[in-house]
Amino acid sequence: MRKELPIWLGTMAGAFVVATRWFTLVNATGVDRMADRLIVASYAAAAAVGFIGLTRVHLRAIDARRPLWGYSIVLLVAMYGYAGLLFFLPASAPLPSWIFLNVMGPVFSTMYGLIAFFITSAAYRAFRVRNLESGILLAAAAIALLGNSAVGGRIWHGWDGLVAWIMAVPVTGGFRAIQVGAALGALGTAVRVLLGLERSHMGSPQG
Amino acid sequence: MTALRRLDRRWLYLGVLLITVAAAVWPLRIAPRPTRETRTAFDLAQALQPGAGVFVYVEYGLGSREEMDPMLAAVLGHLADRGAHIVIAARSPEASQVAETVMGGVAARDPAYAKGYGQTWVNLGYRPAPDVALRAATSGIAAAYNEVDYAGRPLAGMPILQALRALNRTYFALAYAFDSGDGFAPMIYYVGTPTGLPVIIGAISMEVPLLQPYLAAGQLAAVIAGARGAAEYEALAGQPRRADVLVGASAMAAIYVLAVMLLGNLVARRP
Repeated sequence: MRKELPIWLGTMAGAFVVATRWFTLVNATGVDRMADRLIVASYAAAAAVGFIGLTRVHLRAIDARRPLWGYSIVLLVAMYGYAGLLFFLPASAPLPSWIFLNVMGPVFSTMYGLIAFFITSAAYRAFRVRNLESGILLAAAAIALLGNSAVGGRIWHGWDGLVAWIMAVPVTGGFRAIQVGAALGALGTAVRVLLGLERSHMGSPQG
Repeated sequence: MTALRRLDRRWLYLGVLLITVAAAVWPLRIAPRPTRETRTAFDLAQALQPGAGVFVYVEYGLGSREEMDPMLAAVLGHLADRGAHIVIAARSPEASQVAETVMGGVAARDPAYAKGYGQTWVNLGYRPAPDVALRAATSGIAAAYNEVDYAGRPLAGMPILQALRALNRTYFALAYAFDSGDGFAPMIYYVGTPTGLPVIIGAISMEVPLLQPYLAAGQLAAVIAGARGAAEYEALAGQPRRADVLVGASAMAAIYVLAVMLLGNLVARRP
């Protein structure tokens, strides 16, 4: 029962959503709106589970004095402090907005900005011309890099056209191939879940 | 040469830091020539009649603000100049705050928008399961957003949503998504393709290759690409020039990364 019930639940939920998306006759009964409400409810439930799970993990870390347990205290204080604040004030009020924009803003910007450092290091160590293919890749990267930063257009008038061609032909073709492959893979996985053949999401080693 | 081969990555990081500081202390302004995509986006907005409905979906977070805020401000400023009626929604709680801040700045410059909340523009904010809300909005905006706006005010009394009832071609002329991840996809899947509403995506530079197949297929009307696209749009629309400095900074960084790349190859090739 521990295996069969989740499989049946997954199959029925999947079939229900497929029916509401693909058959307009089904939607005449209003079940598509019910499906939407269920999805919203599942989002809220997932957030609640995440809140509880995060609390348990970090309380255990503090209790056991695991390495860097001090950061767990910071996390819990920030999480419950901000959530508590929103019990008394709406998220659009000046204080929660100010905290959000002036604390989270620099944190996220820092994380985003770190990419520049990693790109530079990778450019020095990994972006090597070892054969014809990697040479072509390097040349295309250099053209796109200078084109996107508007330097190329200053060097030569036709640079922007070259970048436009790279984006319109090889990039479009490559990404189409990736997206079609990913979509077919997702479709195959979805069919396996609907048929109860895919069980890895339940922790079973059987794929 | 041996020293270069064993170069500590911290020297490379120091170079990035110096470029960043130099870009902040001595800002380099570069005004790029508009690309065809940016010009298309501008032309579509320029053709709007006063009072035309425009949906603006903000999907980027706080980390991408430096690159995306000038673009969003330029487009919203242009839409305000055209007298468009703007309905804003967000894909995350942080994006709803970002949208409010940027639109607040744009509205402050124009009396019709500064005092016209609920008439000329509205911020619907974020709803859990945002893709569901977006899809539901194609048949009724107010119901999809639980009948309240970003700040919890009722939508029922707002004239803008009495005129613009649903997110489709009947009521709206254009839809935008400003994105820093893969959040543009719901706008194409649930709004653009089913309703035929022209969709314009404003995206960070890194994301632009992902958009190319949709652009080639005609599922997107136009793409505004990164800081460069923002600078191009500002120039075309006569908006305050904030992105030229970003283009200058990214040009300095691009030259540095290219130099590092070439140096790495030279070092690797020397015996």
